Amino acid sequence: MMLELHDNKYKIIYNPETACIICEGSLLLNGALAYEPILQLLKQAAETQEPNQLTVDICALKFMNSSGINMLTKFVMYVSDIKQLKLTLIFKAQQPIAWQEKLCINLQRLLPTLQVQLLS
Amino acid sequence: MSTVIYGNFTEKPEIKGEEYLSIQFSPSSQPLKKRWENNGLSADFISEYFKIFYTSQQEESNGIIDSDVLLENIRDSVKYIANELLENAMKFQAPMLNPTVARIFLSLYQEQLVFYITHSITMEQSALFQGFIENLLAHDPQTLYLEAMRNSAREENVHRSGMGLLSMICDYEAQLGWKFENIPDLPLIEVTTMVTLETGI
Repeated sequence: MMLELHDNKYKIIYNPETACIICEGSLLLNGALAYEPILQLLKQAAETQEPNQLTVDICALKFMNSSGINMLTKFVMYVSDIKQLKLTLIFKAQQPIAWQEKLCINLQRLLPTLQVQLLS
Repeated sequence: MSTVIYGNFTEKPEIKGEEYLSIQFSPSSQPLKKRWENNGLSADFISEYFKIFYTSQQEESNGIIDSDVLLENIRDSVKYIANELLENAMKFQAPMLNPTVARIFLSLYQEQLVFYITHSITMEQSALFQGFIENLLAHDPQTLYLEAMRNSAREENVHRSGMGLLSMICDYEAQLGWKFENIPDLPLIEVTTMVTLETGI
C-alpha cells in the first residue's frame, strides 16, 4: 500500500513495491517536530525494505530548509548507526542542482555505503 | 552602549544609490505558523529580485547572459540563506519587548552579495548564541558540521543545532560575521548577522 504525506507545498510518496520514496515540492517546515511524520515514514520504509534496497528520490524537490537537512541526517544515522539496518540506501538527485548534489555527498559522509545516483 | 563583533563583520555601508533591497517585519497578531510561511515567500521574493536584477544588468552591459544553470544555482543559494536568516530571526526573539521583529537587507555588488539581518534577543539567548559563535570560530567548520550531523539523531529537539549557519559556511562557502549591541534601557540585545556570498558573476 502506498503511503503519502503532503501539504500544499510538498508531497512525499512511498511505494513499497518499487521500494522508492519520491519527494516533491518545497520543504519549509518549522523545526524537528514538524518533520517528525516524514522522518517516521522514512524509518518505516527502511525497516520494511531491509535487507533489500530503498531509493529516496529528491530530483523533484525544489527547496529544503536546514531543519529538513537535519531530518535527513537523522534518518541516515538511524539506518547506519542506531538500528544498523542491512539495506542499500540510494539517493537519487539532479546533478545540475548544486544543493541536491551537496546534500547527497554530505549524507554519504555519514554512511559511506550510501549510493548516490546523479541524473544529468 | 557595549558592542561585540565576531567573524567577518563590517558595518552596513551608507546607501548612495547602489542597488539594495530591504524588508522590515513588524510584530503582529499573526500566529507563528502564518509568519513562518512568510519566511519562504520573502526568501522567494529576495532570490527572484536578485535574479531579475542580475539578468537585466547583463542584458544592458553586454547582452551575454550567464548559463541558466549557474543563475539558478545562485538563486537557490540566495533563497536558502535568506530563508535561514529569517527563520533564525523568527525563532530567536523577544517578542513582547521588541520594537521590530526583524530587518533584512541585501546589497548587490560585482561578484558578491551581502546580507544583513537584525533582530532583538534576550540576554540569555545572546549568551548562548555568543557561546556557539565562539566555538564555531575556534574550530574547523567542516568538522563541526559533520559532528552536528552525527549528533542530530541522538539529540531530540535541539533548539540551536547551528546546522543552518554551518551549512551556509560549508555548503555555500559564505562568510559570516555578527554584531551584538545592548539596547539602552531594555534587557535586550540587538544582533546583526552579516553573510557574504561570493557569486563569481
